[in-house]
Amino acid sequence: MKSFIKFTFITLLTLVIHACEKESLEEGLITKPNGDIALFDELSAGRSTIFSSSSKAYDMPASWVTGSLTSRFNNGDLLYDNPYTEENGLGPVYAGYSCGSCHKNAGRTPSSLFSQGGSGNYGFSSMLVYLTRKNGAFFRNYGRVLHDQTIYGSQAEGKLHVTYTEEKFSFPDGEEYSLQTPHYTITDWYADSIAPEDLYISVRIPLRHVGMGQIMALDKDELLKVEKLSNYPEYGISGRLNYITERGVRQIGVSGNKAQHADLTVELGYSSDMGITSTRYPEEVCAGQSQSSALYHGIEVSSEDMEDVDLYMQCLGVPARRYVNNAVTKKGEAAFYAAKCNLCHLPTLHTKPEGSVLLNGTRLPWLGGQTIHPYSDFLLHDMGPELDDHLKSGEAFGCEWRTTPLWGIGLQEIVNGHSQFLHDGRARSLQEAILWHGGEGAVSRELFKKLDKEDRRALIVFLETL
Amino acid sequence: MNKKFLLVCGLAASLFSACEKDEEKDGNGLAQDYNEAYTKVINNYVDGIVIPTYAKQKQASASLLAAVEAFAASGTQADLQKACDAWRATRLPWEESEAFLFGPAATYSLDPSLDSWPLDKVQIEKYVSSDIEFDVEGLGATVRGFHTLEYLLFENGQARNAATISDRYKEYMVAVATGLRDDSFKLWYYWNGSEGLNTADNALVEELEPDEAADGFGSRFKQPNMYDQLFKTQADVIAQIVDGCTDISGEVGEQKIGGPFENKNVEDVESWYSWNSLEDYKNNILSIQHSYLGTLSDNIEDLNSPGDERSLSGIVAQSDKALDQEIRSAIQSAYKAIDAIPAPFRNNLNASTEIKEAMSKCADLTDSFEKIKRVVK
Repeated sequence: MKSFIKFTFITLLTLVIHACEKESLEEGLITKPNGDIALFDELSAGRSTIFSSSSKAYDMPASWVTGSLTSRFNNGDLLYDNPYTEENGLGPVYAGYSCGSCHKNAGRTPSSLFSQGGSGNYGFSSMLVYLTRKNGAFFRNYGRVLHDQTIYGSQAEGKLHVTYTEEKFSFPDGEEYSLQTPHYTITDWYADSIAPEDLYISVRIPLRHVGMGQIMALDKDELLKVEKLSNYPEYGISGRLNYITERGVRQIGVSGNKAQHADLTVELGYSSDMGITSTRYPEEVCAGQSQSSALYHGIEVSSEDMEDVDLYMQCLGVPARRYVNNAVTKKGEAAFYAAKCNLCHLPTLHTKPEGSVLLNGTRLPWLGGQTIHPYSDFLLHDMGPELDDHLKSGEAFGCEWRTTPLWGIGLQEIVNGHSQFLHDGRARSLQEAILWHGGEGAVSRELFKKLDKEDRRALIVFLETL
Repeated sequence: MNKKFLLVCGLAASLFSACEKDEEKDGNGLAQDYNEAYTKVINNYVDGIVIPTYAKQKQASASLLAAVEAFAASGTQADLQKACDAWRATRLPWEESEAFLFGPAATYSLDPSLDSWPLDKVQIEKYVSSDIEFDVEGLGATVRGFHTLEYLLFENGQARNAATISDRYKEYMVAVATGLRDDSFKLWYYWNGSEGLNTADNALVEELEPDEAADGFGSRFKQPNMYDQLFKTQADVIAQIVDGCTDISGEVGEQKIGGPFENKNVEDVESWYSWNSLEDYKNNILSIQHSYLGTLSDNIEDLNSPGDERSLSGIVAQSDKALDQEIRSAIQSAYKAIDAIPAPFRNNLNASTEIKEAMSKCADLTDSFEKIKRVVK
């Protein structure tokens, strides 16, 4: 009997300690601002997790950002947010006047002219418009992005117009919902009009800059394993990595809506979106247009400053998952798994041991060796004709999109004041975003529709707490 | 033997219970779990601090527009001076609102529209030199708002020479002042909602057609629940109030004061045409005082006593008197340290001792304020 007691004791103790360990010890003891020890599931990004649910939740440094890193972080933050003007290189044509103009608080600025059906009239809209010929080539003198804003005296490249058609649907239990399909046209072309029959337009609302450092530090070997495992014929799911080839080097893509970038594209953003030249992109973005040369200032931003912006983005903390033990959240989490969302929105990944390396070679080892909860497999999935934008990016086809990481997604409204989701903001709520899933996401969409109303609501609450 | 077995089970049960405690703590948050003390604080914050501050700005910005129009019509130095005074009077509530730059100020890009810095002087001068028609709606963030109007009205801390101001400048001033009035109205409206509007308010609603979806941010602020994406619990709301305060204390110390001090660039000093910079920064600290003490008094001596039950100070003091005292002292010290910087700030960027002290006190204030999260769960 003695041995039975001992066995019982050890078993119970082991079970209890294991349960507690999973929740609080695996990542080391991390204390929340309220003094409590963080639970395992709360730690979205290991030691880079921050405990904020407020409007600045996307825009706070991780706790390991101290000393000289802080100075560089603050410099990067200023460079990211301060408006550029003609004096320091903006334009002559541009799509945004600072990183922060489109990524307010490191999130996604609401499209100010969205509700009015277009952009580029005057003022500013955060929508980015990709242009391509139907054979995949760029239009002469236009490049990849439509620049719908200009400094005084220059002419915008064109003006986007949006109209919507709204369609009503019902859940099996009778509750109604509707989805709006956007239709885009461009007028007021800078140069010759471009025939609509040779034009593909893909409109993007800004990405949330949550978890950029973790994404840069992702363990690529793990991603290759995840790619192999992503084969669920019973659910029609089969993901694949995107690859991009730059300067002869083929690399796995991880950032961007289609995982079409291997880095954070800081210099590309400055050049292509703001018309600010750097050593990597020394030519004005509208090179070839007659208005490009008069205001050319040479190299307009230094590579040191570019690295500080990169550092700022990678040192941002990731908001902790909240209310993990709340009854509604738990019900929603169960529904998330029941609808098989987790097969692509993979809860847990790891970063490589060495962390990440910035543009000029600065290392960020603090990002390394972390268990993270991005709720993404970072793979491309065919999302069906519903979301096909016909734009090839890297090796991704128009219908293929990277699984959107869900960390911090529920804080979008408090950070940026709106609930527009998917690449072009057509979904007006998280529920609509789910209902837009087609192709490999269709089974999950149908499983979601079959949930009872309470479970559907709970699933949304779960997403909002990530 | 039975006792030993019970002991083991008891130990295991207490360990289980240790893990379950978090579940109980995190399991609340539905509307019916409102904490009465928090409800008082949140309601007072919305109805006693935020909405009245924006109401003051709304009123002041309407007077500013009237003053600018009067100057545009008369062109006299006296009217220009009145417009400059009205600019300062409108600037005050705006700076006293910067501890709550979340919600509509961010959602509708009203903060950049009202207060982008630096401004784009080159563009402004090109606009003024051209013959384009000024369209309030069409003005970009860096060529509108407080600082553009400040640039048009002031020079070296005082009103420009009225005789040198061209008609095009005046025309542009009116357009910018109109935009400032419109943005100030929207700020108030989005927090207040469509209740209690007067005739002038209704006329502006008709003219500006504000987004109906945003009607009454204040109501959502007061009624968090698990099904609302914005705020799920009162603790979320109070954390937002706290973060609003720490954001601005950090910004004042590190960016508004620290930025120009470190790079010694006078053009980085916000509000330097009017030499209003130090007033701006002190009013930012008063914004924190208002949020913490739950009153709109601008007297920093009020910080010598805790706030009442409707204030953050009140609920902090109830749990931790020393912390409440620390925070009140930190607000007062930050204000006094900024007040000790020689004015105008733009001409005194070498006053290292005073500037470093102010930066340090702002950092202390941020640290002290963060501790509120230990008390309010």
